[in-house]
Amino acid sequence: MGMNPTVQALRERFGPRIGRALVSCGDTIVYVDREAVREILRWLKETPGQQYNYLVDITAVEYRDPERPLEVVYELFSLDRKVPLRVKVELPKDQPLEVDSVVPIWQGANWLEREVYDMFGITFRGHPDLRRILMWETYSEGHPLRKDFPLRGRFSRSEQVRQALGASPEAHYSKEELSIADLYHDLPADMRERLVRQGVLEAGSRIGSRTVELTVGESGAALAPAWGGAGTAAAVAEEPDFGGDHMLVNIGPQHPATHGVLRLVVELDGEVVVRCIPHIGYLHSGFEKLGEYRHYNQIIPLTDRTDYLSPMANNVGFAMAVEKLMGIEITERCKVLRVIACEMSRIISHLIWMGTTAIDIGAFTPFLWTFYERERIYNLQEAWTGARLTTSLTRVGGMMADIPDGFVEGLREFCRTFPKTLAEVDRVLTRNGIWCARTQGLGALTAEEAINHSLSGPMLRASGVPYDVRKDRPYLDYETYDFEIPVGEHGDVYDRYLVRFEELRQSTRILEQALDRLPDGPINVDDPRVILPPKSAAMNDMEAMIFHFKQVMEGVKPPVGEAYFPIENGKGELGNYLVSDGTAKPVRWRIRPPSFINLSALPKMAQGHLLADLIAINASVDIVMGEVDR
Amino acid sequence: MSPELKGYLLLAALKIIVVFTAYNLGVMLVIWAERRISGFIQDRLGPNRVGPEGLLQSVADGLKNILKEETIPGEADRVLFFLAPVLSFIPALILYAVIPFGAPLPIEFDGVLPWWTIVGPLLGHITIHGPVPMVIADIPIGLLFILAISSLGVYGIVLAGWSSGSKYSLLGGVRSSAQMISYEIALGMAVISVFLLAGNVTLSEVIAVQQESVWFVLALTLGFILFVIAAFAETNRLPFDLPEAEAELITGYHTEYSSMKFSMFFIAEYSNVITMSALMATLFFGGWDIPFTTWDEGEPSVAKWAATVVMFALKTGFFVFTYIWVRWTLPRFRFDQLMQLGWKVMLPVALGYIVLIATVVWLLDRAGVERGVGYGLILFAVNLALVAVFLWGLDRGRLLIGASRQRARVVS
Repeated sequence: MGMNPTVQALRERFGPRIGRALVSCGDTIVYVDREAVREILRWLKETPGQQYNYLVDITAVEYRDPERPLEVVYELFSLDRKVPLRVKVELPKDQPLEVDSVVPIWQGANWLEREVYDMFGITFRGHPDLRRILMWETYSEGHPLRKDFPLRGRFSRSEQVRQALGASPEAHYSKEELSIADLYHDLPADMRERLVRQGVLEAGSRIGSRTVELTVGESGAALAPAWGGAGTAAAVAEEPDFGGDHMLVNIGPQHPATHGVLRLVVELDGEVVVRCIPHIGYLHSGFEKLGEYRHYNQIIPLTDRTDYLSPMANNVGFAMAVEKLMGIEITERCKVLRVIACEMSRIISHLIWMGTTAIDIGAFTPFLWTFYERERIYNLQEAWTGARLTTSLTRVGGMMADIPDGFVEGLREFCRTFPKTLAEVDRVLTRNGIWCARTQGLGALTAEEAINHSLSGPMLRASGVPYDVRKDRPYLDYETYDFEIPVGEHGDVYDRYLVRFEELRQSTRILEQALDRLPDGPINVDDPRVILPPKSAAMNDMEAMIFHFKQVMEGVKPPVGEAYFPIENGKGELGNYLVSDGTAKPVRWRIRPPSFINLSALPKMAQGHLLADLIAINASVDIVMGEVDR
Repeated sequence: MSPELKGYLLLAALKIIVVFTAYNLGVMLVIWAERRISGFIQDRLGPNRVGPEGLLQSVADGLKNILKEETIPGEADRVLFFLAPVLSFIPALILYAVIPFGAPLPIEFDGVLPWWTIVGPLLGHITIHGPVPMVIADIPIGLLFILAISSLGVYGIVLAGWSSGSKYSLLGGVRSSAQMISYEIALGMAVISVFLLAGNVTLSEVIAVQQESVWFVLALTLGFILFVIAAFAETNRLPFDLPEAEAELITGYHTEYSSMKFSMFFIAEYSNVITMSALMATLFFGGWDIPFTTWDEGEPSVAKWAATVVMFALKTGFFVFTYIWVRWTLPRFRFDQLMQLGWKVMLPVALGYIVLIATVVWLLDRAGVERGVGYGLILFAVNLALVAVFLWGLDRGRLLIGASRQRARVVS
């Protein structure tokens, strides 16, 4: 694939501020001047003929060569023209690691930039709320994805415990909980006064473009922090927890409705959500860091554990990214099997979503119906991969195993009977007055807002944007399957429900077609660089044994380059971005986490709704904390 | 003490013991039924290990709960925290005292009880002159007593929510007080229509009137619907279980409770379910009356007594089943929707209904229609029209059917 013509347009418009441009694995990469990046990205988004209106991902890369500058990577996509573009900014290490924030252009950049800041220590100028996101606020060991950060961290476990115990809880909570920066001027006067008196905000300090113009009231005594519990006994006595107008309620990280270890700090006026601050990172495992120390095939078990509700799709996504990097064309049978794996994963993911959302809204019974169906898929998955959760189904260039005997019949049987259960759930929920009243009009996002927040998957489609990676950036021959993309009109919780419901039907259709066309043949490519020779050959044939040895000892070695490969999993666009320097271990492995980005829109969606609605909206995002936190 | 008084007291004590034992066994059974029926609805088995068909599961659970460690949050108000479960448990029990559960039992006894009754020789000469009414206390203000005592139940929940010192509990308690107060009004209003027709608040009289005429479910259909909705809200059952909404409030007011104190709330909930079911049967389905026959209304006999008790148990059981069925079918309302339904729909409808029924009754009496089956059927016709209007009024795309779109648009 040639160079994207946008590069030429950029050069004409911005001249010397556009650096070199290259094509790697079919992706066009253009380097731009660090001072002009916001202007350039805005131009790319808004200029007719370019319309890169969808910010897919922001991440950073640090190379193993300590002389090379850090790179901030902006992955863009034009939803209208279906063209991707990767824009990069180089940050030499001898200068301050600073770049302009693009949050004014895309709201979706908010959490992405925070993550880059957290992981690489790159400061985004003009970001409204640049705090750590995956690591905790007081984390003092540095920035984990930097190459000088050791894999095991800087501090021993005992030192970490010592620091955690020695830390003051106020220092840990106060700033983040009460950084009401963006809301300050909308708060009632007494509350503003209280915040100033508590020393959370200082009179005269600036918030955004405005100044805190408040003076401390008469009784300047220290008051109880509004979230309660952390103040001294005397302070609590002076202003009881429930005495204020607003109440701060902490939901999670241990809460039945947060779908994992998500923590939401919610400011309530009565039961109306004034503000909702999500806290994530409780399940952060550093998968991306771990990946840099592993061979490509060894990373596949890590992908199981990201979105653990659709592990097979993650396996496929990662393997496809490596194959793109290496330019491997997989076999026909493998393609169809991967489609089956992806669609099975989508069904599992959506079924869990449907059941748990129903529970969150109070309907318990559909939960068990959907889990019954999910169990049937899990049985098939178990027969194929030997595991229910940690499937590790794919290998670079092929699959871990072919499907077992009876699998096709089992899956056909499932496809035949599954719609019956769907119809039952449909009857119980879709036209149920209470269900409609509880979900319609909730957390509605317009198409523009959804795109601006970089949402993907059913969240984006419910808002009326028919973007589905399977249709718009086809892989695995998805363009040859006959299926439809459901889209909503109102972008509310009910539409998300309808969209996912229809996707279950469509996935069943795809599964049936895939079973019909499943060809015979090998599942692995015939390429000794990536696939182990059969054991019998390795034992008898000298050449095969050498390949076997090299495979096991050295692993797969892609050429120098980088590739971004998106697939559509149940949550949205799951991207794998790999940078290779020619060794067997990636320089950078980045997961574009759909539910992380979808979750970042939660505060906006929840504002002004009731507490019970917050739970429903949070459920509608369909998060998996393993993937949000990685 | 006269032999008559001794007989009366002995009978009263016996009735209390028997009824409350049966009642608590009933609670156990209902808990078992809930779990088995929900299992059936959800394609699973439910508890079936302890005892035959898992019947003793509640016993095992009770035992476990008694033996479990009890936790009291540091922030809790200890006295109220302890009182709250008791306060929610006792009214549910007391309520049952005024509900008649069978035809009178003819007992004639004059003399000294035999020695094997243990209390017999202690009492001396006693006289029991039947027929004995099958209700613990057939007090003249029966229904008012029920309204009064059932209102006390909310204190248990509010105090539990407040005294736990937890925000979730507090929100649950606040929700509960708002909900129960609003639906109590609708409940009371629905019952007033029964008064209008029965002309009496004693429950045995209410049953007697229904035996002569038709069951009030026919004569007061809309009143029955209002009563059922309000009763569901009163007992905090789905779709009105907002005080305990496990999704957002993590079971609300009893979040902080453990061991037997938690069990008390649990038992109180099911007691309330039974009591409300019994009330529905009594007020609208003729109590212990056996339909399509007047055999049970004649001279009291043991056979009639037994048949009517079984009949009453069946009717109560039907409503208990309805409670369970609804719970495992519907999602939960939101708080504002609940209040809207309570104040903007239930209350005005109930008020209007009272006026209408009073007018119709007055007109029928003026026209000289005999109180009897015909009278009831005329009212039934009026009610049918009202129910149609009520459901239509509720509808309008707001509550019952809100789904203008039922399937996502597809693009290829």
